[in-house]
Order: sequence, then structure tokens, then C-alpha cells
Amino acid sequence: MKVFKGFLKIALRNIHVMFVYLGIYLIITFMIQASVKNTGVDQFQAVSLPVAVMDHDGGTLAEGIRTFVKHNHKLVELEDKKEVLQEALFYRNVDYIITIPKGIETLLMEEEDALQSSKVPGSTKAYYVDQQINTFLNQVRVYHDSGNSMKDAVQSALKLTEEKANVTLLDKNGNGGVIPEYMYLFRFFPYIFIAVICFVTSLVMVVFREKDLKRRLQCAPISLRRQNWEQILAFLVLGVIFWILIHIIPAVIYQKEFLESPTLIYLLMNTFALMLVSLALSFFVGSIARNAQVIQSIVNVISLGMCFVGGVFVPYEMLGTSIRKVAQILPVYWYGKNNDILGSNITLTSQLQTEFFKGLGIQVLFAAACVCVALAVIKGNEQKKA
Amino acid sequence: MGHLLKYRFLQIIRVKSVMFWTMLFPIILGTLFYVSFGTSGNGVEQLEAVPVAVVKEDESEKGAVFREFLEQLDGDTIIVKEITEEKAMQLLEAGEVKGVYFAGEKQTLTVAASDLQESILESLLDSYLKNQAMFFDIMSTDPGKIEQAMQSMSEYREMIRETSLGGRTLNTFVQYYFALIAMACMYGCFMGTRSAMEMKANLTPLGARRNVTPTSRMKLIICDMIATFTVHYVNILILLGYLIFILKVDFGDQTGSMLLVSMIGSIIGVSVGMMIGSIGRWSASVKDGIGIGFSMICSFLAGLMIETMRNTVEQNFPIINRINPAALISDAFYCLNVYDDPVRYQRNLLIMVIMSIIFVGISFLAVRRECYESI
Repeated sequence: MKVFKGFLKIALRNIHVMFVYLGIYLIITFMIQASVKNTGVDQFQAVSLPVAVMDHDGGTLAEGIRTFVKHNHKLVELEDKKEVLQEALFYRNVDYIITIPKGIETLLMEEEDALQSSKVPGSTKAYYVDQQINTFLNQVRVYHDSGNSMKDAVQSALKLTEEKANVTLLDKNGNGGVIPEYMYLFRFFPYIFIAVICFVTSLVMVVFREKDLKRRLQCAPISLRRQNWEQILAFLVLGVIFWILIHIIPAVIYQKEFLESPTLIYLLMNTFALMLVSLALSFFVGSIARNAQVIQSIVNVISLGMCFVGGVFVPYEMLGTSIRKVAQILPVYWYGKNNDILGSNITLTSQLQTEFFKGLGIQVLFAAACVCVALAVIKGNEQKKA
Repeated sequence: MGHLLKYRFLQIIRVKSVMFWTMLFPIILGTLFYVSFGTSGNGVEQLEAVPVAVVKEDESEKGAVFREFLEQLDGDTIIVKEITEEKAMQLLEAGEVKGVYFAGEKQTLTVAASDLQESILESLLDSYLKNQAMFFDIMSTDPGKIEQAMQSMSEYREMIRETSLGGRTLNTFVQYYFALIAMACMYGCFMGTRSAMEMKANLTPLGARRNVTPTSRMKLIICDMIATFTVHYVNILILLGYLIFILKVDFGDQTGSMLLVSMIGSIIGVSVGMMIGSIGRWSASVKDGIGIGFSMICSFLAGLMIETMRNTVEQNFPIINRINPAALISDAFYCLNVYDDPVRYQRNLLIMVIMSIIFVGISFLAVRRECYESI
């Protein structure tokens, strides 16, 4: 087991690299997680935002819009000066500014885009305000078109805001339909796994590809096949160490919520498959790259690319149709799909189990395919030189 | 000075890994943005139809109308299955449908999570109920007008236009590309680090050679700075060209000001790198690591991955946004497009210029009169 030992020795000598990368990627992940959490979960609750209304018209409809905003949001009074508005928007004293142009009542009947809105860049919640005001204005228009005076139309439309949909939340994950917080961390695991594992292991592989070391290995009475398998075994050991280490994080942060999760065993299976995928990818990268710099470039492109297209950074539902088809060949997509199943279910029905294991199987198959390709590449390189 | 510049140019463009990071990587990332959500969020328009079950609760007319309404949406927004309550709940448990509409005298919705698709179902029911109430209202006061109301209803209009404070229409998704350009500017840091390390005799053989020249260090630094910056700015221009002409990202009518921001952004990226490369006695790989870590963290704080990141920072540690170069660059872009604020735009550029001068000054002080007993 000389190769195995040698591999682990070099890897352990570089273990600090793993911690540095793990640290960097964890910080990044936590930051992403923090900002996603702020916007992602509360889609169901009505949000109340600080909104300012700049009324350049002063008519009945304009007054109606003000009242509507007051009922549904926090109406902030601001002086109608560009500098004041700039400051307010920049320091987040308001999230949303509506400008009602002069002659809004005729504009409403004739044109689209009658109102102007400015919002804090990147505020997803502000889109709800858009939607609400759009609905409101259209209702006013319908009332007015059907013969009501503007005043009556506004009054009637304001009354409609009381009409709310009756939604029942079926509590099937024991958490009131809200996805447990640690699931957001797990959602970003593909990025950490692929980036960190690929960096660390392929760095070791590069050492093994040094000319002198390679020649020494070649004249040893150990077959290439055995060398490869010992290397793969060492990879697995490293992967498992990483896999155990990374679960300490949710265990420390979320404690019981995570450790006593009824789907814990499935979660672990899913991350284990992801670990295999990352190992296989790194084996593949290590087999084609020639030096550490090339590895860094390839790893970054692969990890970011997979995570973008596979729905880690951008929610899967928001991807275009054609991208969604491409995503299905990526293991990251199946990891995420399994994650969704586990996030919203406390027990897995047999049907969900089948789905889950299908996702798991595809990940493992992908890993196997990567290893095979890498082995072929290594063999090819060997023959080229001989 | 001419030959100093010329060979600096050659040295920079021959280091493939640095050229990859500063030129190719932002282009690849931009392409990923493009395939993920397009240039105007065109991904959002093609939202997948949400599978939903409909349970017929009674024979009431209201229920029948609601079922008909849902059927009209079948295929585009939702995929409707009309089944029994028991079966519907089973499907909801299994995740095969995202929600169950109960169509009876009252119309309600049951969901199993609170995510995007569930929100769509909720707002669907919500707007249905509001419109229903509106029609009953009109019918009860003046039944003759119902046809007009129907006609008016079918002409649903988008009433709100998102604009900058100055009134210019803007597209939110462009902000991702601004963050990308900011990041690309920051990557000039890699080039800067490398060129500074090539002035350190203990780090590179080239540094050792350059240390024995009688040329003043300031002259060397300035030549390095000019050459590195020029190459980097050309990289940024290539990126901008790619975004504008090939991906067709619409940056509006601010191209001139944008070129200025990215120019000063490139300067600050390169000078940060030069400072990292000049100070301290760390090895080359440590310096590379610091460079990567620094630019990555700056870019993430400035909202490269998730656009709300910048807001989170602004609410909790506003000072970081005032001195984070990546945030300054992207804020300068926001000043152009969202806030219409020339004063803050100029202030951001000024801070960046001052910071660059400080960084280059520090690098000069670090290498000035530096000599080695033995290497």
C-alpha cells in the first residue's frame, strides 16, 4: 500500500490548504445563506415595506393610491426633492418610491406604465408592491369603465383589498411548511464540496505527476492498475474525512434541530453521494491538469458552472426551459432535488423513497463515469509516453 | 522607459493563468449568468407550470365557475387534475401536486410548503377572489354594466414602470452584470500581485535581476503599473464588448460613464494587487492566496453571487461599503442607473482614486531601498 500511504502523507502535509479553502468557502456560503434567508422564506407572509408616495397630481386617484399604500405598507412622508429621495433610498429609509405623474386619471385609462417606481437595488420584496399596486389600479380601471365615477371606483377598489385568499398549510415536514434552516446550508453544499475537495485532492495528484516521482513509480513492481486503485482508495479516505468534518458545522450551529431530524440518515446519504461526485470530479481534473494553476481555473469553472446551471445559486424554478433540460444531466441537480424532498417531508412515502434513491443513483453513476474517463485518460497518457 | 514598458507587457500576457483569471473567467461567468437568467430575467417568464389538484366540493355555481377559471389556465400557468379530496391529499403528500384547490361555495387552497410555486398558487386564488368580489359588486349595483366590466377586465395592463430616480427605465437583472464587471476589475489584483512579486528578489528570479538595475524603484513601479493597468483595462474592454455586443446586455445610454468607472476600477484592482505583492515577506503562494481571498470576499460583499448581499452589508456594516473597492465600483454603477446621483458617483470615483494612490504609495515605500544580504 505504498501509493496509498504516500498519497495520504502528501495530503496530510497539505491539510492546512483544505482548512483555508473550507474557511473561505464557508464564509461565502454563510453570507449567501444569510441573504437568501432574508428574502426566501417569507414569501407567504404579507410584507410591509417602507414606501414613499410622490404625488404630482393631487386628484382622487392619487389620494386613493396613498390610502392603498397606507393600508398595506408603511407610508413614509418625504420631501419631494431628488436629493432627499436619493438619500432615503440609499440608506434604506424607504424601499420603494412611487411617483404619480400629473394627469394620472387620464393616463390610467389610456396608457400602460402610468406610474413610475424606484426601488432599492436588489430588493425582491419590492416586487410584491408592484404586483399589489398593479392589481389595485386595474380594479379601479374596471370599476371606472363600468360607469362609476373616479371617486366611487377608488372607494370600491379599496374595499376589495379586504378580500384575501384562504390558504391552509399542510404540515407535512413538522415545521409548519417552512423549510428547516439547516436545509439552506445543505443547499449550498455542492459548491463547497466540489471546490474544496477538487482543490485539495487534485493538488496531491499533481505532485504524483511530477516527472521524477512518476518515473520512480513506473519502475516499481506495482502495476498501473494497482497504483490507480490505491490512489482511489486514498481519495475515498480523504473524502470521508472531509464528509465527517463538514457535518460538524450544522451539528454545532443547529444542534438538536439538525441531529434529531427524522430525515437525517437520508441527508447523510445524499451528501455522501455528493462527496463521491466531487471526488470523482477531482480525480478527473487531476488526471487532465498539469499544474496547480490550471487546476484552480478548471475547478472554479466547474464548481461555479455546475452550481449556476444545477440550481444551487439561482433557484431551479427560475431557470429557463432549455437550461433546465441541461441541468438534469448534472449530479448537482439531483442532489438539490433530493434536498427539496427532504426539506419538505418528515417521512418519505414509498413513492418519495423511489424518487430519492433515483437521485442518489444518478449521482453515483455520474461519479463512476467520471472515474472511468479519468482512468482512461491516465492509461492513454501512460501509453503515449511509453 | 520604452523597453521597460514593452517587456512588462510581454511578461504579463505570457502568464496564461493570470490571463485566464482576468480575461477568460469573467467572460465564462458572464455566460453562466446569461444562460441562467438571461439579460432581462427571461428565465422568469418561462416559469414551469405548477401541478395542482382541484377538488369539487359541491354543486354550487360559484364552485363551477372557479373550476372553469382554473381549466382555462390549464397548461400555461398550472396543470390541473380534478380528483377526489382523498386522492388529492395523497398527491400533495407525495409532492406530485404543489397545492389543492377546493372549489365549492367557498374557494380555498391547501399547500404543503411556502415556496415560489405555492406563492403563485396563492396569488392566483387571491386575484380570482378579488375579481369575483368586484363582479358581484358591479352586478349588484348595475347589472347592465357587467359586459363593459368584462371587456375592461380583459385589458389588464402593467401600470408600473421601474425607473431611476431621474425617470429612466431600468432593468434589474443588469445589476448582476454590474457586479460581474466590478469583480473583473478586482481581478486586476492578480496581475498586480504578480508584477509586484517580480520586483522582489526573494520571490522571483526576475525580481533578483531587476533589483540589480540602477533604475529608480519608483520608475519601475510606475512602468509596471502602467503596463499592468493597460493590459487589464483591455481585458475589461473585451469583457464589456462581449457583454454588450454578443450577449446583448442593455446597459442603457451610460456607456461613456461606464467606461470611466471600469477604468478607475481597473486601476484600483491593479494597485491593491501591487500592494499585496510588495509588503511582507510571505512566499509567492501565500501572496497569491491573499490576493484571491481579498478579491473574492470584496466581490461577494458587493453582491456578485446574490444581489441582496450589498444591502445586508449596508444595513449592518455600512463602513465596509464605503471602503470596499468592489462595492465602490458597483455603487458607482448604481449611481448611474438607479439613483441618478452624480455627486455620489463622483465621490465614489474620488475615493477609488485616492485609495489607488495610497496603495501604490505603500508599495513604493515597501520596496524602496530594499536590499538583500543573501538570497
